[in-house]
Amino acid sequence: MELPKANPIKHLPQARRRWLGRFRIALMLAPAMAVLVVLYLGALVLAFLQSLGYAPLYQINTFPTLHYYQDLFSSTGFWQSVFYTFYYALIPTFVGLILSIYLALTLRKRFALKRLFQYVYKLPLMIPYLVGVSLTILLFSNGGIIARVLHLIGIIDNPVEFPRILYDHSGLGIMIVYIWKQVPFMTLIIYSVLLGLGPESEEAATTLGANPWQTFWYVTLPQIMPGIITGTAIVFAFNFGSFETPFILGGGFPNTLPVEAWRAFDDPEPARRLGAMAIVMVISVVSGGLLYLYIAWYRRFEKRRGRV
Amino acid sequence: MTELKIVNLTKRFDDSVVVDNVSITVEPGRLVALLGPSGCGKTTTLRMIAGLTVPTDGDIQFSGQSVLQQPPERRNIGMVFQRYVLFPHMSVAQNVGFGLFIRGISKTEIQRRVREMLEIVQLEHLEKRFPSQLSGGQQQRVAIARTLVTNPQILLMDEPLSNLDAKLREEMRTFIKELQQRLNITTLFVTHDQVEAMELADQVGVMFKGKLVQFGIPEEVFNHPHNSRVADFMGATNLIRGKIVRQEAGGIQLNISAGDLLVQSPGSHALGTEVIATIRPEHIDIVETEPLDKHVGNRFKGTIEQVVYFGGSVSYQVEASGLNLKVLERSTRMMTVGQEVILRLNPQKLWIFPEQA
Repeated sequence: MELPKANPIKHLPQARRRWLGRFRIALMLAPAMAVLVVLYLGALVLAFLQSLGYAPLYQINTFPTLHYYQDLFSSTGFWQSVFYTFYYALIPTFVGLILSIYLALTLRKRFALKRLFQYVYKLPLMIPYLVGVSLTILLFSNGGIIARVLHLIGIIDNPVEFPRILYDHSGLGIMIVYIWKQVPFMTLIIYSVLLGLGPESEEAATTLGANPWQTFWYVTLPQIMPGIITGTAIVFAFNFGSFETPFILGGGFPNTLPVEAWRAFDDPEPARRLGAMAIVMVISVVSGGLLYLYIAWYRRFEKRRGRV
Repeated sequence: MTELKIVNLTKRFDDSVVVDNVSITVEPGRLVALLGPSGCGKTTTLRMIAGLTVPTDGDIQFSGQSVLQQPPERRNIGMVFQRYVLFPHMSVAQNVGFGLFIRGISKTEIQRRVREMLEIVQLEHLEKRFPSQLSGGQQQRVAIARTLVTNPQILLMDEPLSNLDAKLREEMRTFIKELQQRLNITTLFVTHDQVEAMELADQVGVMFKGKLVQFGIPEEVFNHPHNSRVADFMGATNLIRGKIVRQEAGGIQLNISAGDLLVQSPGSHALGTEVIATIRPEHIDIVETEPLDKHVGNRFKGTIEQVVYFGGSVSYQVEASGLNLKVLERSTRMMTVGQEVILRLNPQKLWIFPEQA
């Protein structure tokens, strides 16, 4: 009796085999693509159409019009929102990055209770942002724990005198939450890259006469750059589109673009919802542009090293 | 030129002693190979000289001056690593010029010296390439050029050829030897390959379990091992146990399982001492038809038990009255398993050491 063939496709003519192979790959990709196309791309196309005045659902159809974009770009509040969105996204990303590099470099060293520390520093990764927001309020609000401790040790006369760092446009509260939550994430990425790198590269630099700072600047930093860029791109993109933290801890109008988009969308006036879609499109274009820049930079980075 | 001296160097990690009281002197301009199996402590010794590992005890001196208090970047040593460790984000020229760049040397001077060094390692046409675009041999040459461009007083090489294929390894051995002699730089070379050590070194130190067990010129270590471990590591796999029964001007006579064995080995031993005689496989003659003459010593009748063909040479495992000897000869003839032969062990090629060594 002839045994069944292990791979029946192998015995078909070459052209048919190739076609079947492609079909099989398309079939494997289909579930993921369906989610992407329907949920993301579909929603984006709908938002784009609404931002151009096509919204039969709200009995509005002035398509095609740039009216909602003109309104948006001529509003001072919108440009202030753009500023706050970048400000709240960039500063904690940059500060968090420096802390993460320092932490990752420290974690490579041997020290007492290292295993415990390696567990503890990752804890914020598993805790939701809202918990971080609550903790920040408990700690840093006027009358919060820190204010009370400062009052107890006599630094301030009254807990209410504690400087206001929440619910204002300085955004310190927002940034504290972002840094608290994102430093472990960036540290994890950079630490993994450092572990992959091993100590030899730095040792080679040292034996060639480089002091610790030169070794870090010229040898370590360029080699962990892919990890840094990946980590900061993800963190910045998240901060840029983040909603709940600036919504709760922000200083009111004008707030970040996502918060303003939500406020506009939540308005009972249907025309305002189309303005919200214009904001959503601005956020998408900026995020997409940054993603493109990241990919282009990374390709260039790899090309310069002869790897592409 | 700098003399390298390590004195009673010891390194302990927790409870284990990785390097145990090692003392070596590398004379100025000479190349010394530290030879031993993996984990014997040779790389740790090298790292301590480089300043990358802190010794537990002992001293390291460059031309009589202790360097223990100096950080690695101030020791002016050059170290070539096993995995080359080129900086992947720098071109060949940038890699080679790195040591000069961080010393603040002018750009034109860096370019001149990099070009000069790349000419020495015959890679001047590849200066713009990145490490990922080079072969293993080219990467190793860049690593050597990068190390030498700063004119280090001591060159340390940590198994620099172990990642290369056999042919390239041979080429690089010649290249390193020529380069070292041309630049006359004091060099310590770590390897687990005895052929590499023999070919390159002026002197060889053999290490086992953190201890330096023998130090001398290659011929001495190769032909006159101090103990069975060194003998085995150097490829002298024939170890014959025996007892000294006579000692006279003509040599030492041993009583072994197969009869009497004459050894022309220097040194005096007490009669009755248990010793091990060793002879390299290539120093045993194998004879097919010679009649066995009982009056001529060091001849043993045996049977071939195994034949391994290596191309240029052939190895025979021969059983001879309780002795199991390995014989290596050129493959000008082939004998077969089960064939009866006569083995001749040249007394001058035999070497003995006390069994407890």
